Amino acid sequence: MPKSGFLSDIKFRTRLVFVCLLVLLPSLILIATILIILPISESARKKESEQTIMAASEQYISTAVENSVYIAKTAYTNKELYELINKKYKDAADYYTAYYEIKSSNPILTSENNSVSGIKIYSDNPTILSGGAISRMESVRGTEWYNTFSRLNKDMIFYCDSATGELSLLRKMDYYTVNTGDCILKIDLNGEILQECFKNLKFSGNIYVMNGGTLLFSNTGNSDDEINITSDYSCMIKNYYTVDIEYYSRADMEIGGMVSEWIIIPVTFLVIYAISVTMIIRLLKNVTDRVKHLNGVYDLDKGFCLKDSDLLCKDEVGALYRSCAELSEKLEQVENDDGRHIEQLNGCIYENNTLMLDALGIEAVLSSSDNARYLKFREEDIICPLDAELEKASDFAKTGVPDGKKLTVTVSADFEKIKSLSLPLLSVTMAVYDIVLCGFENNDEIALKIKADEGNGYCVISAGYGGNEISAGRLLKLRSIFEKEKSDDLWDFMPGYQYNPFIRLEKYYLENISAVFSSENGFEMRLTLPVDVMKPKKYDVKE
Amino acid sequence: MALCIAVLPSCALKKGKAENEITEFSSFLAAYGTELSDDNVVQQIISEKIGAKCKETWLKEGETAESVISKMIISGEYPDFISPDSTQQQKLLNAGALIPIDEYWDDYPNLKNYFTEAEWNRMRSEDGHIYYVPAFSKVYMYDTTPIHYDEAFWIQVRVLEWAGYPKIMTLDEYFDVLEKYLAANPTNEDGSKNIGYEILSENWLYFCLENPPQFLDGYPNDGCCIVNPNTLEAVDLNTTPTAKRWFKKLNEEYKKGVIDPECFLLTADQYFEKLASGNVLGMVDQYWNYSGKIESLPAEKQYVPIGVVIDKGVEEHYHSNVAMDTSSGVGITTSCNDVEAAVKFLDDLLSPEVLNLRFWGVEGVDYSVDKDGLFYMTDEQAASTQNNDNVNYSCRYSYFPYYRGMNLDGINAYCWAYQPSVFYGNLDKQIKNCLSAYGAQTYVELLNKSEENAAWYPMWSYTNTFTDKTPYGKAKIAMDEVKHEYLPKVVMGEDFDTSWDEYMDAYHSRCDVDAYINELTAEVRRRVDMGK
Repeated sequence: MPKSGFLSDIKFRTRLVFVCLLVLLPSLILIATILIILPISESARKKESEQTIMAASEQYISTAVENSVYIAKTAYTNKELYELINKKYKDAADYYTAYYEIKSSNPILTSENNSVSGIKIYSDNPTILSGGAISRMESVRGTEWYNTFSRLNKDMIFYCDSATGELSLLRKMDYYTVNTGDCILKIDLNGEILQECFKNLKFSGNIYVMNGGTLLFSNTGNSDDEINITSDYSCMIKNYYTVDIEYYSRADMEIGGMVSEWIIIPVTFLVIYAISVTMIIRLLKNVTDRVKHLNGVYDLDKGFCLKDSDLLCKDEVGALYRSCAELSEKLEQVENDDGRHIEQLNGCIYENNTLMLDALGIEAVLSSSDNARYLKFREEDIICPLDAELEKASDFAKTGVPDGKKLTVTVSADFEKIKSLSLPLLSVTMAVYDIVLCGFENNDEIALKIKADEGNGYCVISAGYGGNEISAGRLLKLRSIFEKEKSDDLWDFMPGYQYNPFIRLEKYYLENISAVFSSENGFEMRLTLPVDVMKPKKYDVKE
Repeated sequence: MALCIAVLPSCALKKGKAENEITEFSSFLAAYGTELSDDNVVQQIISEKIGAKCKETWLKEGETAESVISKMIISGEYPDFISPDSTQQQKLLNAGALIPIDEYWDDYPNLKNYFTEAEWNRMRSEDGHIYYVPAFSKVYMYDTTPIHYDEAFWIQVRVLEWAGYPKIMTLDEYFDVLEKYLAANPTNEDGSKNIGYEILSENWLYFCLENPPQFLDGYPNDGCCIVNPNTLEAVDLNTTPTAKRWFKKLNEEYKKGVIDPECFLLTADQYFEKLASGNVLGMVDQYWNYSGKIESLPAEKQYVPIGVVIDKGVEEHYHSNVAMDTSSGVGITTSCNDVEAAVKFLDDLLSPEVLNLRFWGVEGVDYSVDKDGLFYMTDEQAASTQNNDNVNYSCRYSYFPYYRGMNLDGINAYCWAYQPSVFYGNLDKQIKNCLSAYGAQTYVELLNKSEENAAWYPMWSYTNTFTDKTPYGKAKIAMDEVKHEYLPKVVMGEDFDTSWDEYMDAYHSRCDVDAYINELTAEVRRRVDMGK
């Protein structure tokens, strides 16, 4: 058997609270830890995200730049282009013919693609016409890009138009000798496509690509005026052939978003926790309810009276109940055995009474002979003085008290007047005994009063008590004893009643008696006997 | 517990389509257009009424219909709707990229009855199915357009005003006015040079250069040929005497410096840039092609159409009723996940209520209706409509089918801009003066009234379906190449006759013109027979 300690004294309700707390506590600690770590990791993620997006942005620009550089290199060494711009054309048609041919056959002039939106060669050749991919230099002299290119005096530069934010690669065309003046290749990066790329970036935050305060691309669609680069922006600067391109990036702190993502964990936990607690409560309540119920189903008198067999489940409570029920059944069996023993004892008493009557030799009663009164009674054996009879009745009545019930008997009589009277032995005693038995059917306590009085040639003997009435059926049976027609179930009135004292009295007094049974606020039997018969005398016994 | 956590999010992702959810389609429209904003007002109203909307994607600068659609065909991934040009339409059909709309339209009477059975038959594919719906060819009752959308000789209002609104009938008169104005006004106030006449000749847009001879001879815009109405024979418009006179005139004007010397080198974008500068006095073009590029020009630099003919006595035929162009249209692609809904979308767009939203706007807000059902605009509504942001407010779904001409109520024009009272009231005073000087209230009234289209009209809808698989298709390609190569030389040539002869030699030696013309003649007669 397990040791019983202080744990055994903890009630189920308290145990339940402990269990819930023990489940809740680690989880709350976990969630709290997550919420503390979240901003820290989010900040790191933000930085990483900013670096990543800048690297990706740089890749876009770099690819476009390298693509333009590749085209520029190809054009730079393309002999046909030099021939086109070196030639002196006699008229527009002559130039158109030359241009038409090179346009059809030379891929350089049509190598515009997603990265490059325009390729144009500017030449000082006065005999060419502006249009398509070739243009006269005079049309661009004085422009910002031309001036910048001239000022830097480099073979190739990358140029950003501060007004439009357009990016261009400028390449001096001098691989072959050019006799018609300066010649510059200008390749415009496809800003719309690049902007589209930036717009489609899946980045939660701002990414700005700028050059000296001019916004080139962004994922927000903001204009220059709407941009405010603050210290919390990550910055990266990359130089592309003389042009510095700045990348500014700031990721949104997505605490709110992350919380909304992470909130699923505590919410899920709470849901599961609620379900778990509910389940635990139900499990424990099931046990406690059944234990309480089982406590109630034990009756001191009836033992275990379980009506709902569902309570007899297969768990430990059910087993406990079954054990208790079995024990109760055994106790009840013992109790029943006791009752049966008492009944047997009572039977023995009745039987003893009968035997005793037999012993008294009341053959007339047994034979029901009308001449019974003439039977020879041995006076010393069967005739008893009334006072002695009343005393016997009082004593004998006390033997009929069931367990747990109470009887008090008072006898009142003018013993001087009645001391000469006698009557058959035990006739009143047995009647009184019957009254007591009947009385205890409906009463737990009986105060029995036995009286005897003599006058006018009759002796009146009464026995009764106050309290509950006896049942109507019982009363009828009592009365029927004195009726002419005997009740067939007379014997059923009480075992041994075939030796009924009233029958005996009737036989003895030859119907000159009256017996009144009244059951009102209790019960009373009143016997009226002729005194003359009660005088002791000798009887002739018929042979 | 871990299991529960893992399972819960996936459960949360399950969602069905709500009853009032808007189905959003995608589309590619092979033209330069303006993309609507996601919260476009009228588009939102339409989508709430019909439960669907379509995001329109247009050609971007630097893209061509061919490049975009070729990529789609290679990848096999298309938007839900596609509206290509005629060449790409054939490619899409050959690639099996379109679904047969006629298999789905039985429950959609607006769409099914959009064309007559005879008209639908003109666009059935070889397998008998209809794969696309031409969007611009259906006129309800009669044409009400106040604007001449097609080809014409265009001239700036300031030129006519300066010249005192002269009556210009012939080619010579047209260039005479330009020459005189240019001589008097070689530069503008800002110092920029005026260009007397500009020519767009890049790729297929070179119709501005090569097909005016048909108009000069008084024929309508069959585009690829002239049709003799008596013999029902196709005539090569490239070699007619008028054609020669036309190019000779251009040659003369080029030499005079009236024509932009760079014109044949220009890309389309460069051409539009020049028009947008407002410095170009005149050109031949189709209104739909250039109008979007000059919207910001002041009234004096806007263009009005002139019905120029080669000689007096020739009746010009520039304005035609809407041509039945069956060569292309909007189709539903095989990438569309819900073809039934897409067909319903087309059907819904043709309902009277949605047509009003598309072309008039919101009743009570953009226009009002009098007791007789006539739509009108208050001054506030007219001003508001003029200023409406096409990106954020209006939604015409202009490349999806609609009815031109009259509104389906039979009372109003299909579009507010075509309502005569609204149109004239909205014109700038300078343009009103110009129109009034010629006794007109609309641009169309500057030209002869359109006539009933001939049964074969327009023939360009046929040549647009040519591929290089046939002799006549190859001939067309060769003709295009020769014209692209030689016509600029003809115009720019020092000696026109020599250039012309070289052109003709190349033309006849490199092109199977007979195969081309004979096929067109056969098509003319087929269409005439079909129309009987």
